[in-house]
Amino acid sequence: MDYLAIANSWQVWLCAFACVGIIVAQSVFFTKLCYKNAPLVGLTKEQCGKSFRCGMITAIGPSLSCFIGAISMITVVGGPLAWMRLSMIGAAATELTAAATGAAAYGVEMGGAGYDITVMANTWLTMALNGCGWLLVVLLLTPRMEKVRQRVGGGDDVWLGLITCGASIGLFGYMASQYYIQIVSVPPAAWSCIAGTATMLACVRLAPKAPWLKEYGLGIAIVAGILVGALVR
Amino acid sequence: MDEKNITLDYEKSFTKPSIVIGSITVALAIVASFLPSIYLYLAHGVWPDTSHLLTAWGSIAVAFGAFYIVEPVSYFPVFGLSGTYIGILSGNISQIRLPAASTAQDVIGVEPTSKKGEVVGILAICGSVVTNIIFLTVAVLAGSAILSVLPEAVTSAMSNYILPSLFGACFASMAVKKLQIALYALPIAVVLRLIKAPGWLCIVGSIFGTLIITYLLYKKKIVK
Repeated sequence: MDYLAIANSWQVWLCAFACVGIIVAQSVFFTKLCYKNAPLVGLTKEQCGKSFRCGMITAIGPSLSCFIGAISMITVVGGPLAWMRLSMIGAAATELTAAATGAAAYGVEMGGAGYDITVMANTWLTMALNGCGWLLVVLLLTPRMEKVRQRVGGGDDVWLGLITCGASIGLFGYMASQYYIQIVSVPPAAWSCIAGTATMLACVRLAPKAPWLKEYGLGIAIVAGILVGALVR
Repeated sequence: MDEKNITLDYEKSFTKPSIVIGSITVALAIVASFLPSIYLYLAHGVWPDTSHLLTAWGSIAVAFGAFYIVEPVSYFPVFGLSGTYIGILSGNISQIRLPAASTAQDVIGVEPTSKKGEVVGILAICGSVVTNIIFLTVAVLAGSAILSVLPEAVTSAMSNYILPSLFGACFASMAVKKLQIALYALPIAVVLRLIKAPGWLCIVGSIFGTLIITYLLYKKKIVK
């Protein structure tokens, strides 16, 4: 069975459409609620329209980067799954980490030898279960968030920030280390990873002078990594 | 109408309906995110076996579990209640949602913490969701079309090296935020991998090892 043919079938597109539809519907409902309450807080209809348009325009620049996320996900999980996963919660990096973890449980790499439809089913479920972590917390805790906030950080905002930062560095150190240590066994993957790291470092260093690098840094680093990987092979 | 009455009305006509809309849409999204997997099972009889699924779930929950709670909690003061429902469901918080909300609040000239500011921010976030979904849809459709005409050598290079370069780049962008943490986080991960520790231990060790050392260094005021 060709797993990508099934992953790209219209039935799966339909499932993805349901998901994306809910996200759009949510914004529609909230927009209506805002319009209804505008007079109460002292906003005019014009100001409401202006706010909405302003949000639409601001989002154009950063949205361009979703092309990179979309293309990197389509090759490994198919179009519909890329569409629905990227439309919610995580960025491409989070979703691909979840997908790779689902494949790793079977001891195979994404799209590599032994990656079949059962492994793909596992990657889909892992992405969904991971996303539900955030959604469940939001569903259960948002109405009483103020209290939760005080408890988690112990009132220490610096430490709360360090938890996010430390966990991110640990996580991506873990994800990247699998390629770094392949420097002898699978050199192209290792060099591709090193090139990605180095390019990103350069982008971050240069970003104060060229702010556009902030948005496109990740895309540039991925292209550089792919090129280096292909050249080393 | 005095300030107290407005607060009460606002509570009743904005905050309460927000919780209803937010809860229903988020609950539906949870159900909908499993639809493709359910289809795969019903139409093709494909479902991963429990042990592999639990292994994957366990690893990913360890990897991102802290984020499930810390992210909504840390964005809450900025986004407010309704904003949290939309912001977390649609994602891209720091790159898209926050800039959209604060730009709109600037343009209209309202205080972010006021009720006016909250409504303006939410409208902007809703607007940004629309743009984002349009771009994403185009990207996915165009991406599929572009990939189908690219030569095999290019697509195989992409599928082989996207993940290594992506994770390398993500590590770099996180590491520069707190370089000191990276100095012990990466060696921990490399050592665990080299001694061939079991998969779950690698993840737990890399993340919680890093967090424990960070906590100790924070208490000693070395990491701040």
